[in-house]
Amino acid sequence: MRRGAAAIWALIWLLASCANRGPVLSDDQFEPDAPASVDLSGVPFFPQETFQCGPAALATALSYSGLEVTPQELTPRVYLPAKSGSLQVEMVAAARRYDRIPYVIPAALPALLAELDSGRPVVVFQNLGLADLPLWHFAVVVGYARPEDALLLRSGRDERETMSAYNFVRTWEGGQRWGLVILRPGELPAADDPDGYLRAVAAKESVSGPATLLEAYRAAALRWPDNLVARFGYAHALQASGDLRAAVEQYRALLVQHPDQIAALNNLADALSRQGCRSEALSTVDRGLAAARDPLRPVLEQTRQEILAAPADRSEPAVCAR
Amino acid sequence: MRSATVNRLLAGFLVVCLTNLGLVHSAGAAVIDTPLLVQLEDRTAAVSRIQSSLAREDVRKALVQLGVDPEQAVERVLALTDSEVAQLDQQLAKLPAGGDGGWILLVIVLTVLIVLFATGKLKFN
Repeated sequence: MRRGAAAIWALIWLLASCANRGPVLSDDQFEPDAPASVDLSGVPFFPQETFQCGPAALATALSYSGLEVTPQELTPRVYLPAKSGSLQVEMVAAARRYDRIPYVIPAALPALLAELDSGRPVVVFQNLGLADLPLWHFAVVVGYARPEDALLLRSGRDERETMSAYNFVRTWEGGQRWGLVILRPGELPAADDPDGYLRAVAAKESVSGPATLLEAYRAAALRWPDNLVARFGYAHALQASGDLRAAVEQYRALLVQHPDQIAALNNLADALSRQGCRSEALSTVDRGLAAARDPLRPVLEQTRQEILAAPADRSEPAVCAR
Repeated sequence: MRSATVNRLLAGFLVVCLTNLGLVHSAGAAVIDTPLLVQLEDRTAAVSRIQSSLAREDVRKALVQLGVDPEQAVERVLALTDSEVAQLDQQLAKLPAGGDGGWILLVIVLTVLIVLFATGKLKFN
């Protein structure tokens, strides 16, 4: 009898607390023109095997970006047998091995919802247990429904889990609001986040080289023309792809905004020298050396040596002129 | 007893680590790439390349200890950036690993209920 009463009180308390709070998916979490609901129904579903939510979630997002990837292929790349799970860092690193840019979104609900509005599913990290007794889990958010105040997920063995936004946010906050999006080269994140995006592109470049990243940097330079790394990345990707003429143009545009950018002066000098502009290359590298700090100084000195070793002034082509 | 393949991969791995010790790669010998620029701009994340090469070897060994296939461990470490390597080197044991959800929760809830019933703290009726 006493238990029955307690249960009724618990129910009343639950209902009351539900009634008291407003919707989690309130208007201020969205862009003004966002729809009432989003359901990326084309996102595939890979039912997870025991402990394999990491590979399953990552395969889901990679497949939707247009690759043929299975969880079985990803398991040896992300799974840690002794931990019975996968680390966030390795999820990102594994995605980097494909022709895609893994990008961690800003840790906030509007950034996640904006990605869904842009048609991209988000791999999320949740704590489905308690703070002191955590159960870490990867799932993929594929939509939201504002009327129901709920999110749609591919999670575990559930192809279409509807989770109340309140519960989702609680579990997502347990995972420090970590969300991963798979970008195709040239695709930009929904959030205005040049630093995060460029860090992601540079991270990919550091493991797989600049060859496939020309589009990624070009898109960034167009969207954030005042951003140093975006401009530099585009110029350097052009240079690495062998388009020296376009690279020279981009470095010069960058140097108008950042006149003493030593790395840009060094690379411009190298590109000029390789195009037969010896005297222009020398004056450029000397401008850099005049301002160079310690870590880059040896590189500029090496560039200067290489310019001096290049064949002496041919008649300088038109590209040398500023 | 290591297989020949693992030895070959390890040799390649060390070559990559050592190449990274130099400041420059890509287009020309003396061209500065974007990852280096990002590292220079973000002084807080500056990790020396020598430190990073040593840390890479530590992380590779740790992955193998956690049950990763030795060949896969080499490739997995190569996919990490310097700062990710530094993070794993310091915190691998502590970092949360996303595994399952559902059924462990069920097991825990059932265990707790069984214990409560068994100790008489919870009764039917």
